[in-house]
Amino acid sequence: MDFSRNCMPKSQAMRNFNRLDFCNDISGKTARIRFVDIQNPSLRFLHRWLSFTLFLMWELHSIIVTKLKCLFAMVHRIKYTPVADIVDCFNEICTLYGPIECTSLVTRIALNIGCPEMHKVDNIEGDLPIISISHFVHAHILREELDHSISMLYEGGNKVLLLPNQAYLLHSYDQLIMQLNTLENAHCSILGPPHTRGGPMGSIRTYYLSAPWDTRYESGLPWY
Amino acid sequence: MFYLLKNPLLLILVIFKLKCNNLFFNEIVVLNASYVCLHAFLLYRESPNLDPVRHTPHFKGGSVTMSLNSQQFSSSMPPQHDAALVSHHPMHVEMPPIDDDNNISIHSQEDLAWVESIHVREFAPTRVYDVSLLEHMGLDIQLPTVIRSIGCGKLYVETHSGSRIMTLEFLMIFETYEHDGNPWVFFICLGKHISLIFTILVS
Repeated sequence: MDFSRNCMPKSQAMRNFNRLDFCNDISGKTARIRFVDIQNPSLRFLHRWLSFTLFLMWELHSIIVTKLKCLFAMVHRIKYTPVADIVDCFNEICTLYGPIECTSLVTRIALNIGCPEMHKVDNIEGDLPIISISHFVHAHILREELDHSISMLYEGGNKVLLLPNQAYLLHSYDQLIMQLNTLENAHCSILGPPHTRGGPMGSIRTYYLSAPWDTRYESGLPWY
Repeated sequence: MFYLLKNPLLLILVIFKLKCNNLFFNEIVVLNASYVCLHAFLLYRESPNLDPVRHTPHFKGGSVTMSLNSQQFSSSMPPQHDAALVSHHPMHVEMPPIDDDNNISIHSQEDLAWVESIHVREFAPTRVYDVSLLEHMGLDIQLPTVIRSIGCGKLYVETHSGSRIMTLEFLMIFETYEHDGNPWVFFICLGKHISLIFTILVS
């Protein structure tokens, strides 16, 4: 499947994975979380990449344990291959709905095992589908501002994070959550009327987050 | 085909299937006659078990052999893990003639529903991110870097197109089973019967 040879299906480092703890680390919640609860922008995009590459799910907003394990490995830079989970996904694909998008993965497997009949097979017509900004705008994850900059939406669009933001890049700082409730540290949007769900346009003020530090990090507590 | 003729019930089921689903018939024509046997197995495959390690496949009583660079392996003797060889060299697996009906269980309604459901699904290539969008957000370098850090770097660069018929064949027969205490996977890819020890899939 083209994983690195250093990858281990059962890495020793992965034994430190705890679902509740990791959910708390990335969302500040310990209950069942959804995609929008992930706060780090990089992790959001990495989670979605997992959803359409390795763990095929039409419901992209749900967060399953297998994806959390991969995100955990990404955060801690652990060589990890979820091959067992991918195999399970193959077995359970009949229980899912929506298009089957693992066709490229099957092609990859066929190429690696050296199938000589590849040229006789008709590929699906058209180019590879590209996920553009419209996908994320439709999902209320991103918003394009009037000056064509891009903001990431939080809490139903009431709060946004202007991108790019080096402070929130994964591995740049040892933090995975942001201070969403510290509105006193935020300033109002000056880039145009907010695009929010519910209520008339402009009825809800939009805030940009300006304080990247997690209080736990500042207090000296381990961020993970 | 001989097996079909030998088993009237199976033949009736296949003919019924062909008449009910032209798509099914077309796919068989596109590939080759051996696929008839493949789908016959589907009609008689054992009921799936949701456990990761399922069961010994239908040919458990047969002498499945796998040649890999002139090196012969037997299903009763799993090959040693040699990812380099398996990844880069052709593999050929010969399906033995099945001469014992006890090796094949009667197809359940659940399996019929599975075959039907996957036929009507839409097949699409794996999606990729718009690079210009990532550049705009400052994530164009970080995402592949992070993914590479866990060993999935090659998967991030998606250049392969997908094939409906190949994926259909792969998913319809894909299963895991246990042999000598080790998990194995079995699937068919372009008519080739592939049985691999689980860990080989890693690389």
